[in-house]
Amino acid sequence: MPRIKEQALKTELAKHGFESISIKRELPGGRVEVEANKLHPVHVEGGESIYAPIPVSLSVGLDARGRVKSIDGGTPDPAAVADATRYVKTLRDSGQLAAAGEQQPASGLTHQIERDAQGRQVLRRKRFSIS
Amino acid sequence: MARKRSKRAAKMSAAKSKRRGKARAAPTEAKPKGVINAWEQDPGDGAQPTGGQVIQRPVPVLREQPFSIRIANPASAPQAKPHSPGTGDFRYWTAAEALRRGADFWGALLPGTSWEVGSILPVDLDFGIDLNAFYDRQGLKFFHGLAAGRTVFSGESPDVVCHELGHAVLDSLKPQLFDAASIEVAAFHESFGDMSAILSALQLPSLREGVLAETGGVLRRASRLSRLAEQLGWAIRQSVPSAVEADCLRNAVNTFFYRDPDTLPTMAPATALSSEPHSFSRVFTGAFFEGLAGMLATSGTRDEAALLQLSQDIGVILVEGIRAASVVPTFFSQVAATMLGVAASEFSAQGYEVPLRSGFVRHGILAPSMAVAATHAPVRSAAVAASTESTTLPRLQLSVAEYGLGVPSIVVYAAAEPKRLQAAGAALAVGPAPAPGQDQAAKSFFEDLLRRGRLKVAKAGKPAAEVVRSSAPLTHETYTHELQREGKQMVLRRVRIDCGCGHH
Repeated sequence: MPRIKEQALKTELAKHGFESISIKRELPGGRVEVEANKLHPVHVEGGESIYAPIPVSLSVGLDARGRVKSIDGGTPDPAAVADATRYVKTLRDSGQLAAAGEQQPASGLTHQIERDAQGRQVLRRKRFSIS
Repeated sequence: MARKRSKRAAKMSAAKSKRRGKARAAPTEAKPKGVINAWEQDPGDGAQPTGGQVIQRPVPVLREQPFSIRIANPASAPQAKPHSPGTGDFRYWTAAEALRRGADFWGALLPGTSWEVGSILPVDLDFGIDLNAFYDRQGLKFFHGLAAGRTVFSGESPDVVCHELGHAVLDSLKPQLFDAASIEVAAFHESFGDMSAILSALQLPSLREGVLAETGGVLRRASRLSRLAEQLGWAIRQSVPSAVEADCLRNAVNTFFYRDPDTLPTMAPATALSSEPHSFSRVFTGAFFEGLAGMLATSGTRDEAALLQLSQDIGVILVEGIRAASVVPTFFSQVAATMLGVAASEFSAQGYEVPLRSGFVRHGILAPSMAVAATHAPVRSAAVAASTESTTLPRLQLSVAEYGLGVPSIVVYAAAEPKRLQAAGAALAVGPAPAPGQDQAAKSFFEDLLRRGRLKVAKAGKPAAEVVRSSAPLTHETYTHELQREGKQMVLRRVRIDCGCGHH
């Protein structure tokens, strides 16, 4: 079993578009099971896709030095994409999602749509509220 | 199991010793002496904005490990002594006390874990005007707002403080959940906040004694423990009455039953369920609270010491369940199933899995067969032969192997007469709900009995199939049905009609 360098693995997986990465467990054969989020288009507004972080699980193969050799999985499940689409609608309807470009979240807002470094519009949580 | 308990106790003690050791290595200051005044659980009492209990507590030290905290606003701490409610100094210390208590509770369960925001969690006790409170990845933020001529400070309520602290704790435990675009994940985060408020409150001896006296030892009854944020709920109710419960913000004693959030409206009054995360969170919180109540009901003693132990044990089960749960759209059932697995493997002697499973099944988070599978209960089998009994209703042989009843099938009397009117319940979207076939209807009815804890299960089938109601009276049985052996068959028979108000 290669020694897992957790931070290096996270950095490597981030290059493949994974976020909020956590190593769930080590598997036989030099593999690790990882949970993460991956941005995926879930909604179209004004002709432009809105991306949301979708939970995914993946199995990462490592070489003897602990470097990423292969990645299996990590593609958002259709049910998870449908869940995210519904989530965006719920946030909109309940007034928890700020309009694109709104800088200062108003009371009750928990999410914003931000433009990321690649120019994509991305749903991002800004905070949790009690009500 | 005593050995298991000892192992766990030793593990926690070792973790505490490790922390103490670390504290000794660093420059330390003497702990302040004396006491401060604080709200026990909330400034409000039921539907009233006032009437909360004031208690005296040791001066809290926020910078201590585990989970160091710093109140950034106000910038300096007032004198540590008992202050009168209604003053800023009182509000500071009641918030500090709740923060330290919540952090100590979760810290003991999560040794070595640090805040997602860094080594210290900053707290702002008055960030502006709002009837709300936030956790973001910078810290906790509380507000003040005006309602019916009264200024309400959200940071003054230990319920609200420990709810927000719960978000920060869960973010440290499972950061992936913060941003995941999923209704159940977001709802679970809210539920965890409410569970944090409940479990942190139970660390107070006065609260434990008070709630046991208030409920007569039947935790399943609505109480100061189950009602979350009475005063903030009152304040919101003044402007939007339908947005909150009648006597608090949310109540952990509820009858909400799981629905696929995709079938729910995106908004609804507090009396109904919607897919909005705070609303939907009540399903899990209700199941959790019912499980906790059931754990107390089935324990040998119902004193405050037992309640303290249960709060810590269910905290372990919750944390380990969350750790093991996969982050999928059906996150509620994932966490519930893993919690049952932890209860069965680590607390088997205490018998926690039956009351916990009952809570999850009765709130629809787990189907009875899934709940049985989650605890890896063996499915027993027995031969059932054909019956010669004549009946007034058609008889059905119903397969029940998956419920762990000890028999592969039972006989039921099906409601299978021809319909006089073609009527059915409405679907949520359009038109009537599909009418189930008689087999499915009979199975639905049977499973409903299990879910509601209305089926008396024969000893051979326990504990795999049993669903207990923590609200069931101790003096008499309230089952409505039981499985009776008739010849070589097990037959589902009604034994009573319960017209009581115990809708649970």
